[in-house]
This record gives sequence, C-alpha cells and structure tokens, in this order.
Amino acid sequence: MNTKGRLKLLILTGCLSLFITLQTAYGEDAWRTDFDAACAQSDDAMAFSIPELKKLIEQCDRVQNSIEAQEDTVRKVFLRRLQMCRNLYVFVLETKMHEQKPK
Amino acid sequence: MAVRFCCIVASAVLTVLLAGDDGKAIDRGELGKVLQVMPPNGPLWKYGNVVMRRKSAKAGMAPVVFPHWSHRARYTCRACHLELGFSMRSGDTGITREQYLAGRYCGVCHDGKTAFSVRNGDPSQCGRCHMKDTRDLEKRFDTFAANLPMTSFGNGIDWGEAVRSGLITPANSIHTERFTMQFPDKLKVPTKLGTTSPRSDVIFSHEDHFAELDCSSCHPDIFNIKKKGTEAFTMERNMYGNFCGVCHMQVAFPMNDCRRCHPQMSNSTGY
Amino acid sequence: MIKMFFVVPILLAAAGIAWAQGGMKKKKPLPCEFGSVTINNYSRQAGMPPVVFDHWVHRQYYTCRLCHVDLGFGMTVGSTKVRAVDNMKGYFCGTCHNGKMVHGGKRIFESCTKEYTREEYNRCVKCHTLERSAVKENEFYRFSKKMPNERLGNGINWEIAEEKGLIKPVDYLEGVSSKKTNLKVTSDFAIKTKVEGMPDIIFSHKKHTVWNGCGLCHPEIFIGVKKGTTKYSMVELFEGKYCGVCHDKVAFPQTDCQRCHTKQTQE
Ligand code: HEC
Ligand code: HEC
Ligand code: HEC
Ligand code: HEC
Ligand code: HEC
Ligand code: HEC
Repeated sequence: MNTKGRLKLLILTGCLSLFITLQTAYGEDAWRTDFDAACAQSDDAMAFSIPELKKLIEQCDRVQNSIEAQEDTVRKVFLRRLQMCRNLYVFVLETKMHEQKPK
Repeated sequence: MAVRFCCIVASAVLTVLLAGDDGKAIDRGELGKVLQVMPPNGPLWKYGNVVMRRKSAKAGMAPVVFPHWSHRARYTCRACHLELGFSMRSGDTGITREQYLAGRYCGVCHDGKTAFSVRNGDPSQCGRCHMKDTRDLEKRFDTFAANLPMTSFGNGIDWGEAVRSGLITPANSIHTERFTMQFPDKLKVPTKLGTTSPRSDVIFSHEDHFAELDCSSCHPDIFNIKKKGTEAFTMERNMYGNFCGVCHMQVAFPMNDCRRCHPQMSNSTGY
Repeated sequence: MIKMFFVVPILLAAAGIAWAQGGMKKKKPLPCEFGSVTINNYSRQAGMPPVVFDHWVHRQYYTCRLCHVDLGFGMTVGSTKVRAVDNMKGYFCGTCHNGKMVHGGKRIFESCTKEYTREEYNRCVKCHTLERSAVKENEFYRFSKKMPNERLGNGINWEIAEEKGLIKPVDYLEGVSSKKTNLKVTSDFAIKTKVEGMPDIIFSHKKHTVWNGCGLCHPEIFIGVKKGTTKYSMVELFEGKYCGVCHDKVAFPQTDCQRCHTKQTQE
C-alpha cells in the first residue's frame, strides 16, 4: 500500500471512530428506525383507517421486543414512548370501532 | 378581668380541640361559650387593619399599618387580591422594598400619580405607611367615616349600603381590559343554608359576594363546589377563622353581627 | 380590653393549626415558584441536595410534548425515576444538559458526572438546589415583565406570549424526536361542554395537541373518556385528575374559572 492509500485509510478510520464515539445517545439502530416508523405519525392518529391502525399496533408490538433487549436507560425511555404511542392507537381504534357499530 | 378572659379562651380552645372532627352542631351551652370568645367591638378605625412588622423591624423602620377601610372604598377585594396577587393571609405575600419600588404590589398604585409614592421624596412620605403612631390614621378615619352609613359592628360602616347608595364606587379592576366571567343565572337566587333549627337558617347571596370577589376567592380552597359537600361547616369553625371566618372577623363585617346572616335571630352576643 | 385584642390572633392561629385540613385559604405559590418541581428519588440518599426543576425556564424554549413525549418525562413528580447515569449517557436532562448542545450562543451546562472539582460543584447546585436563590427570582421577574400579564399561575399568559412570538418553543430535537413526514391534515374537533349553571367550556383539541401531543392525554390522563359521555366533574379536576393534571401545576390554574368556562369562541 502506498503512503497516499495509507493516509486515506487513516482518515477513514479516524472519521469512523469519531463517528462511533459521538454516537452515544439516541443512535440510529435498526430498532430506532422501526420505532420511528411506528410512532412518528401518532399525532395524526385520527387520520388513520381501522386497518392502518391495526397494522401500526402490530408494528409497535414488534418494536417492543427489540427495545426489551436494549440497555437500562434506553429501555426506560423508549418503552414509555412506545407505550404512549401504542395505547393511543388502541384508544383511537376503539373509538372508531365504537362509532361504526351503532350505524 | 384579663386573667378570666384567658381562662375562657383556653377552655374554649380545649373544647374545640377535644370536640374533634365530628362536625355536629354544638349544644346551647357550648355555643354560649363560643359566643363569649367572640371579640367585642374594638375601636372602629382599627378593624381590618393589617400590621406588617417583620421585614420593617429588621430594616429599622416602623411597622407598616395597612388600613383596609381606606382602600376598599376605592377598589373591590378582587382588584388587589386577584389582580395584584396579595394573599388573603397576612405574611404570605412576602412583599419587599425592591418589589414595590419596581412597581409591584403597593407600588402599582403608590407611584406618585394614582396615590402618594413609595419612593423616598421631599418631604419624606415614608411615615404615611411606616407609622410610628396611629394618631393621624385615627383622625383620618373620623373624617372618612363621617358621611357613611352606620352599623354597630366592625368599622361601624355599612359597606354594602354605602355601595348601593353610591356613596362609594369601588373599581373592580385595575387593569381595566380584563374580562371577567359572566355571572351564572342559576346563582342569582340567594341560597338558603339550612341549620339545625329554622330560626337560625342562613341566607347567602352569591351575587353580593361576586360583586367584590371572584369564584376562585372561595372555590375550591375554602368551599369545594359539592353541594352540602363542605364537611364540618359549623358556626364554631367559622368563629375560629375557617370558612366564612376567613373574611368575616378580619375585614368583612364580623360575626357578632349575627342578623346579617341569620335574619331571624337577634343580635345577642352579650355586648 | 386591650389584652383581648392581643389574644384573638393567637386564638385564630391555634385554631388554624388544629383545623388546617378544611375551610382555610391555602398558600398560593409565588409566581416564580409556580410549576417548580422537586425531584428527589435518589439525590438525598446519594448525599446531593434534591433537584429543583423550573417549568418557566424550560417552557419558553421547548413544548411540553418535546419533554413529556419525546424525552419520556412522566406527568407526575418523581415518576420518571431519573438516575445520574441516565443523564450521563445523554438521556433525560442530559439530552440537553450535556455540555455540548448550544442554546442562544452558549453551551448548556452539563448535568451529573461521577467526579467533579470544587469549582464544578457550582454547576451541580444549579440543579441540585441548596436553597431558593434571589438571583433566580429576579431573573424570573425580569423575564415575566416582558411577557403578557396574567392574574394567576406564573402571572404570565403563555398562550398569548406564543401567539405574539415572544417565545418560540421548539418541538423537535434532531436525533431525539421522530421525524414527521408530511402531516395529514387533521381537523380540529373542538369540544363544547355543556355545564349546567356555569358558562360552557370550550376546549381546543387542536391547540392542546400542538402543545402536548395526543399520546400524553390519551389514554393516560383521560382514562376511558369518550366524546359526549364525559365522566368527570369539577370536583375531580380540583383533585388533580383529568384537566387538573396540567392545570394547577404547570398550565394556568383551575382557579381561573373563566378561561375554561367561557362562552366566547376561541376558535
Ligand atoms: C425541559 C423539559 C420539560 C418541558 C418543556 C416541560 N416539562 Fe413538565 N416536567 C418535566 C420534568 C423533568 C418533570 C418532573 C418529572 C419527574 O419528577 O419525574 C415535569 C413534571 C411535570 C408535571 C408534574 C408536576 C407535579 O407537580 O406533579 C406536569 C403536570 C407537567 N410537567 C406538565 C408540563 C406542561 C403542561 C408543559 C408544557 C407547558 C411541560 N410540562 C413542559 C420536564 C418538562
Ligand atoms: C430540551 C432541553 C433541556 C432539557 C431536557 C432540560 N433542560 Fe434545563 N435548560 C435548558 C436550557 C436551554 C436552559 C437555559 C440555559 C441557559 O440559559 O444558559 C436550561 C436551564 C436550566 C436551569 C437554569 C440554570 C440557571 O440557573 O440559569 C436549570 C436549573 C435546569 N435547566 C435544570 C434542568 C433539569 C433538572 C432537567 C432535567 C429534569 C433539565 N434542566 C432538562 C434545556 C433543557
Ligand atoms: C441539569 C441538571 C443536573 C445537574 C447540573 C446535575 N445533576 Fe445530578 N441529578 C439530576 C437529576 C434530575 C437527578 C435525579 C434526582 C433524583 O431523583 O433524586 C440527579 C441525580 C444525581 C445523583 C443521585 C444518584 C443516582 O444514582 O441517581 C447524584 C449522585 C448526582 N446527581 C450527582 C451530581 C453531581 C456530582 C453533579 C455535578 C457535577 C450533578 N449531579 C449535576 C440533575 C442534575
Ligand atoms: C389536553 C389533552 C388532550 C389532547 C392533547 C388530545 N385530546 Fe382527545 N380528548 C381530550 C378530552 C378531554 C376528550 C373528551 C371530550 C369530551 O368530554 O367530550 C377527548 C376526546 C377524544 C376522542 C373521542 C371523541 C370523539 O371525537 O369521538 C378521540 C378519538 C380523541 N380525543 C383523540 C385525540 C387525538 C387523535 C389527539 C391528537 C391529535 C388528541 N385526542 C389530543 C383531551 C385531549
Ligand atoms: C381547566 C379548565 C377548567 C377550569 C379552569 C374550571 N373548570 Fe369547571 N369544569 C371544567 C370541566 C371540564 C367540567 C366538566 C364538564 C362536563 O361535565 O362535561 C367543569 C364543570 C364545572 C361545574 C359543573 C358541576 C361539576 O362538578 O362538574 C361547575 C359548577 C364548575 N365547573 C365550576 C368551576 C369553578 C367555580 C371554577 C373556578 C374556581 C372552574 N369551574 C374552573 C373545566 C374547568
Ligand atoms: C397535558 C396537559 C394539559 C391537559 C391535560 C389540559 N390542558 Fe389545557 N392547556 C395546557 C397548556 C400547556 C395550555 C397553554 C396555556 C398555559 O400553559 O397556561 C393550556 C391552555 C388551555 C386553555 C386556553 C387555550 C384555549 O384553548 O383557549 C383552555 C381553555 C384549556 N387549556 C382548557 C383545558 C380543559 C377544559 C382541559 C380538560 C378537558 C385541559 N385544558 C386539559 C395543558 C393541558
């Protein structure tokens, strides 16, 4: 390997390690992406249809398993966030089903 | 005389403490004792005056004497106790010189325009609040009260009548733009508060109180809003500064004026 | 006779102590103390003074939703069980108080660390408060002077402050909040509540959602509440349930009857 190549590699590893050390809290792991996918839209809960809501609730349950496997603090923060979002979907779902029934 | 009075007071306190929380009406004998505890009329100019001495004394100033009578002729209770945030318990507000100089509390009006200033001027006005003695205040009371309708209790002034006849017109707000809640129709009929015997039933007017105060002056701290849900609401407790006694006894007409609330009763407090 | 006058206040004081549970005026928090929360699950035991968190300092910069939904702070005092290590890892207070995040051109001071110097201890006691400081009180009054005036609570009308742009609370923190894609339009379902004997209540769902987010109220605070079948009463609110979870503690207090019981349309 020539010096230029070695320098490139050095910079690359340098950047990478810097990147890793900076990624302490709120990292971009796979479970985090899933969490965002399930809960980012919770403030629009009223706009979802019944099948959409059911799907979101299932998504939440799947994310729950991956969050359970994380370390203490992450579990504490994200299980609460997930609970809030899942319970809301359940609440809106129940309201919508209730509205449908009498008609 | 004083010794005997202290004995009565002590025994009354004991009775009261021992009577506990059952909230039942007291029998005549005990009521008699409570009535004796009730303070007699004092000097008329003195009723409702609040003396604030803690911070003044530390700073080497004479205590502040705040006369309610001169202020309530100009503003309703609401204006000061709600808008300006004066607590209804003396000492709670924690007024400091820095605050009133910055235009808060007393400084809202005592700015040299609406009323004499809190600032040290020439000639010094400090003595008008930090009173070394109250002779001047007494004199001012005599002129103040001269033309107002009489009663036998408290300040010796029938404040309600004074307002109704237009002799005084207290402002209900200092920041005039504030909107207050519309008074609910349902509350316009005076409420009858039943007691143990019909002769002592009480007529309570929401409307008369709303004229001076705000819902929140009483609800929910003093009276929760459950009908008949106010526990242990007895004359005894009133007398010791609870419920009606938060105001009546301190600033509003005192409770030895029985007939103002119990229209069928006679004013027999023994004085 | 003069002695009698002397005795009466003592008597009243004695009675006050005996009967503190009913019929008395409660002590109202000062405007600068309203919304102040003391967190003390672990501090005392670990030899640190309890933490005092002031809502007025924070709500001018951030929405309730950001902290109470995205950061996971609970809605009752002490419920979050924040540990020093959580802060050190960059969660809870440490999300912002990490010595790195910049706010108004300054770095926000760092939260808990294992080791500290005498000088750094001055930072600890900004949160682990030893006693009420006059400096903070004055800061509050300087701030509140610039804000629209209100009678109760902080003495500040936070809603108008926001409308006028005097404060611009942030609702999103990069990496912490979930990225919202295009918002579907949700219509406001303003709720008009008919109350017998009092002016009706107009409650804006839309405004509350912007401040708090749906998930904070449903279903946690409004357990099993469905439209039109309201099962809560004013007495329960005064006991700190439903609306009383926020109003009285952080949002304007429930003694401000006319702000809820209003027939004036508020959009
Ligand atoms: C900077 C973050 C932050 C913001 C912004 C914030 N809060 Fe809080 N809030 C907290 C923390 C931290 C606690 C204490 C939680 C604990 O003790 O576990 C708390 C506690 C509370 C409590 C409980 C208080 C008590 O005395 O029981 C209420 C109610 C509350 N917040 C409402 C609100 C409302 C309403 C808003 C928006 C106006 C808001 N919060 C904005 C962080 C925040
Ligand atoms: C969302 C970000 C955020 C969170 C979370 C947060 N703070 Fe703050 N905090 C701030 C900002 C911004 C300031 C203002 C800093 C400044 O003026 O330099 C501040 C200021 C303070 C101050 C005032 C310091 C002073 O004396 O001037 C205290 C105390 C404080 N925070 C405590 C806490 C505590 C305790 C928590 C956790 C329970 C917390 N904060 C969570 C952003 C945050
Ligand atoms: C931004 C605010 C903030 C600052 C600054 C801060 N802390 Fe904390 N600290 C907290 C909060 C919130 C808690 C949780 C309080 C509780 O529940 O008792 C806490 C808890 C602790 C605890 C309790 C132990 C445990 O296991 O949780 C210790 C010890 C501690 N902090 C040490 C420190 C030290 C030392 C410093 C200064 C270098 C410091 N903290 C600065 C907010 C802060
Ligand atoms: C401040 C708390 C609060 C927030 C934030 C909030 N709500 Fe509500 N919601 C209420 C209350 C209170 C009621 C019941 C009103 C009544 O008494 O009729 C209600 C009722 C409902 C209902 C049942 C009424 C109906 O229309 O059938 C649904 C569904 C609902 N909310 C969904 C949501 C959604 C979705 C959001 C976010 C966009 C949201 N809420 C935000 C307090 C809130
Ligand atoms: C945070 C908003 C809010 C404030 C502030 C508020 N109320 Fe209410 N009030 C309500 C709600 C919500 C209801 C229940 C409505 C329903 O039953 O549908 C209610 C109901 C009532 C009722 C009907 C009877 C009952 O118990 O439900 C009365 C009387 C009442 N309020 C009095 C007051 C008084 C007096 C004040 C001021 C000291 C006040 N309210 C302040 C929201 C509020
Ligand atoms: C999650 C906390 C929370 C709950 C629960 C809540 N509020 Fe609020 N509310 C707020 C905040 C924050 C504001 C902003 C003003 C402030 O902080 O003083 C506000 C403002 C308001 C306003 C003035 C704004 C407007 O719409 O004109 C009204 C009225 C109101 N709330 C009524 C209610 C009623 C009625 C309920 C119960 C059904 C309720 N709120 C429950 C947090 C809450």
